[in-house]
Amino acid sequence: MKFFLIICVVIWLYLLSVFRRNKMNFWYFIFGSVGFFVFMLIWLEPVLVGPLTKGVAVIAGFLGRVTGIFQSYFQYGILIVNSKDYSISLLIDYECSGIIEIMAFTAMLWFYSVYNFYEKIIINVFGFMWIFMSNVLRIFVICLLIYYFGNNIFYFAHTIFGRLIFYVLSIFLYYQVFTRAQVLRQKIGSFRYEEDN
Amino acid sequence: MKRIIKYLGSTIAFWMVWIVIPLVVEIIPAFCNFCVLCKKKIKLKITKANRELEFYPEITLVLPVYNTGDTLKECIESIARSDYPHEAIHIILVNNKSTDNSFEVFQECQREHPDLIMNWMDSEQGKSKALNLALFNSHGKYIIHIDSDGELHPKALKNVVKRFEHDPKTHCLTGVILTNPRMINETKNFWLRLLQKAEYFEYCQAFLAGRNYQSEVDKIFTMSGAFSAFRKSAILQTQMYNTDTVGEDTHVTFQVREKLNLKVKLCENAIYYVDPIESFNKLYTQRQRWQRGEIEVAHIFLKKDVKAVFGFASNFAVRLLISDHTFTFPRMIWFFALICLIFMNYPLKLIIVSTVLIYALYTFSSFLFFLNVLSFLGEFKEERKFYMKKWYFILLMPIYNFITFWFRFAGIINSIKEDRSWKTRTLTQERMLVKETVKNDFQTVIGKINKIKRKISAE
Repeated sequence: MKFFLIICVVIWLYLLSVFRRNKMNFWYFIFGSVGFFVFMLIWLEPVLVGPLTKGVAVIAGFLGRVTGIFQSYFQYGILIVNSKDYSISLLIDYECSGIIEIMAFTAMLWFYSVYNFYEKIIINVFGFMWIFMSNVLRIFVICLLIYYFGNNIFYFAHTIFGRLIFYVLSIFLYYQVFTRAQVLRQKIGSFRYEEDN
Repeated sequence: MKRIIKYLGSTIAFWMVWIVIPLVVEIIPAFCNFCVLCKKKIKLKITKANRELEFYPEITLVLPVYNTGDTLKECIESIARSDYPHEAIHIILVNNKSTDNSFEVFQECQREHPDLIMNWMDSEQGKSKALNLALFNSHGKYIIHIDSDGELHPKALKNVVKRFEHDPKTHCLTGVILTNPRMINETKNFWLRLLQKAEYFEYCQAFLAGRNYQSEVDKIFTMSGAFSAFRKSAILQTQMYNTDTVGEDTHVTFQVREKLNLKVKLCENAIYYVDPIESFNKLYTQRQRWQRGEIEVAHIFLKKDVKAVFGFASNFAVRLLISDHTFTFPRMIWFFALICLIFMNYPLKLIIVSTVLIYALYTFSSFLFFLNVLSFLGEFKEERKFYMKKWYFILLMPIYNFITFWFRFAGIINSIKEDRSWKTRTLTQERMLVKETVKNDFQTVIGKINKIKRKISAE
């Protein structure tokens, strides 16, 4: 398996060099970001998911303690919401950790040629923090809704409301990082199309 | 009964996890569009917006000509078939450095249609420059631009003028662009014909549903460069067509909207036919050009809104940019992430069913647009029949849209790094380049190995 993966990385790097040499920017971006995402998923995700889950539980737990809405047992990645009639425990797994979203963002950023190397480092750190905090906020809002509306709200809070909050915040980040930067730095004029074969 | 409702409720809730985003972002807005257009159709009927005029004013028809010798004749003949009084049409053909027989074709048309008033002008190269020259030399009450490589519907000119005359608040109109059904039927290659039919279906939906809705809520992003009409008093107040962008049609739309604060509307019963797409390669470069045009115009006009952190909340054009540009990134990566999920022990059934569900939702929105288009094609029996026969594209449109999504995405990425030597290549050219590079690399490696072998043998 390891050997197979190394072969895949070598082929990936070679294809990237082919696209780069031919100035095929679109294919370079697609192959680059998707490949980078997949390799991160294979090698980095298992390493990062634990600390990230605990991190989300710690920060969300801090908010829970301050507001008195829920308690966090971050060692186990568990949150306990004590509402009027119920006590509900929430387990933060890898889906809640935001690890996939962080890796997706990172992968695209590093192959997005609007920025230079140093800008990418700064934006990556900022993006990581943004997605992390968006996730904390999502979990906090879910707990808040459960606290006030009881167990029955859980599904709506988790599936729809929490998801939409996270989605809106992610789109805000993507807009600022990808769209805004490109529109502001877009060059105009000096452009031509080649005839079809 | 209670049990069934409970079961259905829990099933819907379960699948909601997967479909909530496309549902909220695309399907619910599509349903709202559908309702708005139904209302518009009823309103048009009640107000009799298409009633005949007692007097038809003089109009100037501007045709930029650039090596369109093979299509120019059909274009002029389509004008000759128009039911608009010929003595009230003044046609200006602006040649921008053609090198073919366009002028001879023009002379031939002059001989064949002596009732049409036609003038020939020469301008610098570039469509924008040609249009600007014609604008200064036009004297009709209304100025109508059409490309010289398509055909006008016989009723188009009359319907545009009727709309202007009945609604004094409308200063700019864009027509409906459809691909030519006759040419689609003449295409012999099965796959190309299928692609052209999908394109026809797409154009119908884009204009008679999409842009029609934008017109109704006064949010038209771009007038079509192939067929647009202005009150002369309005267009002469703008800074004319911009020569720095590939999206000169969008640029002039923004000038009218932002600088003059005038309304831009769609005349949904004025049709102009363009040639269907010639190849898959052409579709690839065409969509990239469209996407690039949008970004360029955003760069020129939306800088202030885009710069502001919450600028997207203030301007519909920025929101459109979010839909066309920002959403593209998560869509792209999540498409591949979905495949990865299969290898991360996610149940395959779950992924397949959710994909089918999302597909069904897109089909549903396509069906709603289909109904809208049918209602607006009521006046055009042949087009309606042709469109109706293509009903099965309701099911195929999500696939077609998926393909064009990637082409537009290519437009986004390829327009970032650009210098004077860079060109948009077709898919075939890109494939050949990769093949050539891999072959050269392989030969280099083989050459080096042989060299080492020879060295070892010599030693």
